[in-house]
Amino acid sequence: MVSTYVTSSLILRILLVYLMVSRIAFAHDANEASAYTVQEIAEGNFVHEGNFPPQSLENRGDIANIGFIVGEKCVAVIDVGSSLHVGSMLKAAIQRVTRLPICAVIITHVHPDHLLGLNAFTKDDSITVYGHHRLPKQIRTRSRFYLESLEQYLGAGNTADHAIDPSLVTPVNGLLSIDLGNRVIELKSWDYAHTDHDLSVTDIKTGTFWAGDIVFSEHVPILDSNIRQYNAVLEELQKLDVQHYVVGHGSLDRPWDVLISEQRRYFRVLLREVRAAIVNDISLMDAVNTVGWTERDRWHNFDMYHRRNVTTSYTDLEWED
Amino acid sequence: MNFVKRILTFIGASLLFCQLALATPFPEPDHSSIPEWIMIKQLMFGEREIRDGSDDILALYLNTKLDDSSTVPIMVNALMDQTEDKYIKTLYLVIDRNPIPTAGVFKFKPEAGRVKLETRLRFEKFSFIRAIVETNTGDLYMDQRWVQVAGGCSAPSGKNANDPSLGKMRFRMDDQIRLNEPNLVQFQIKHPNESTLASDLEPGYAARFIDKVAVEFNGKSIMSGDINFSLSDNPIFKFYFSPQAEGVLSVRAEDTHDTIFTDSVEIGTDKR
Ligand SMILES: [Zn+2]
Repeated sequence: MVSTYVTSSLILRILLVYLMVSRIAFAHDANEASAYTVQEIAEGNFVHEGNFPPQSLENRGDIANIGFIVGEKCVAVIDVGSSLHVGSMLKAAIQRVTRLPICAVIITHVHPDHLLGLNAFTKDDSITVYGHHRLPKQIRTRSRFYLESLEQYLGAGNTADHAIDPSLVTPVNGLLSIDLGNRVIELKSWDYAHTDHDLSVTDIKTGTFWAGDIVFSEHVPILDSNIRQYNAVLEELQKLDVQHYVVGHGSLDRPWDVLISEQRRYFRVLLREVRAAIVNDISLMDAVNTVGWTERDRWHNFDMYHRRNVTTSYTDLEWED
Repeated sequence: MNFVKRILTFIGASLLFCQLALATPFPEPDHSSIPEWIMIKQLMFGEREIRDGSDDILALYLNTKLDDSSTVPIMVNALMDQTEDKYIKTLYLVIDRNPIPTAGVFKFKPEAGRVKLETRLRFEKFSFIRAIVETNTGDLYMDQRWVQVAGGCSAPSGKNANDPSLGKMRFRMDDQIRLNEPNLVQFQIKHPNESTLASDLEPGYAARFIDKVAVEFNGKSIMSGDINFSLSDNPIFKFYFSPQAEGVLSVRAEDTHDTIFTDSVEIGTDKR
């Protein structure tokens, strides 16, 4: 009897949320496309600056910096947003900038805010989708969750239309150059950085480095791999000659050196304090609430992602010799 | 019903970087009326009464803010001493809505001095975690917490069962062991402890997880557990034991692929 009551009141509550979701979704559609702006951060390199995560009904999943590079022959898209809605808006923005066809879509990594808008582009057979050689496996194992969460967070009723076919991905292992017509871009696969399958893009002509989520600006870095190797990647990035950059989250007008050194400082604190916690027998339960919290005021969304970064580092470093 | 089920499943928080926050968290339901629990309770304990033990028998701790459904540290502390007359014989960890709700069944001895268990768990859905103890007199006591993370069992395991260090163990205890009083000891086994739900397992492959651990001191059992993939990868255990002499602490673990892992450590009263 009691449990029946609980269940039915729960259904009611869920139904209410669901109805709210679909109504808000409708209200947004009318005048949003023109509000989706891109800026040319370097000659031929266009970026849309997304809101800060997490995704919500208000931002409709527009939470990542995504964009495109225009050559003389065709266009390369770099990341496609959280949903078909965001992907279509990016596509419309491209068509406002150029009439050249899109020849390449590059996915920097599997996270949904970079990936799930892909089908807005793939109906066209002349488009090649590029990803890290580990991306197809990540799509296979994660996309079910991502599709379910899409419904949960954005109220997208057409989740099935968002399903990504992993066999579409042309795998990149090492370096790969693509000529967009008098403009060569270079794709590079990284080993363990933000994830175990990050792909970066460099526009050689302007020295513009598209970092995906390997580098964060203002937003707390997120660790979905191994902190020691990620840290080594940042050292490598610091040596690059970067004239312009795009990072997945946060503002794009801060000096590149500052971004890298801030992130390295955060990792140094994490590494040092996690190792100290392990040596001093501070349990993981306590460490997530004590390690690295001096960094709290320096980052957006710290409370949301930092504990997880501690967990990821701790469970790795506790096996260090 | 399917929709309700789906939304309650609330999906892989562990995978959803960049979109973690849930706008309205589900309020804590009444722990005694959870349908899964009513069934589990009947199956495990029949008609026996389970009393609230949170005042004087046991306390279950975990962080209120959880962010990683595949690695949730928990701690169970007995609030009573182990004596020959009255002691905690068995500790059950139950996660109502996990694929195998009985996450662990641990046996303790009166000689432990005091019962404590720290470990790390996976949560597949929003659920209560319950710590239930059974005393030597056959009484059952419980403490429970409501947990709002999900997806921990179906997250890709990400760990490799072919890791050359599979089965490697790490022990940890104070440098100075004190005789005849409770000393904390910790051991951890390098093992992916694969969940049968892990989304990166090949179809038809039987998930490889540890299902038995046994700890002995000088050949006498001090703690043992029947466990499964509700425990996180690289399972870790921390508990008390009260040695009456110096000696050898040994661990034996067995996984579902019939591999046995053993290791031991000498325990002295001066330096380890
Ligand atoms: Zn990401």
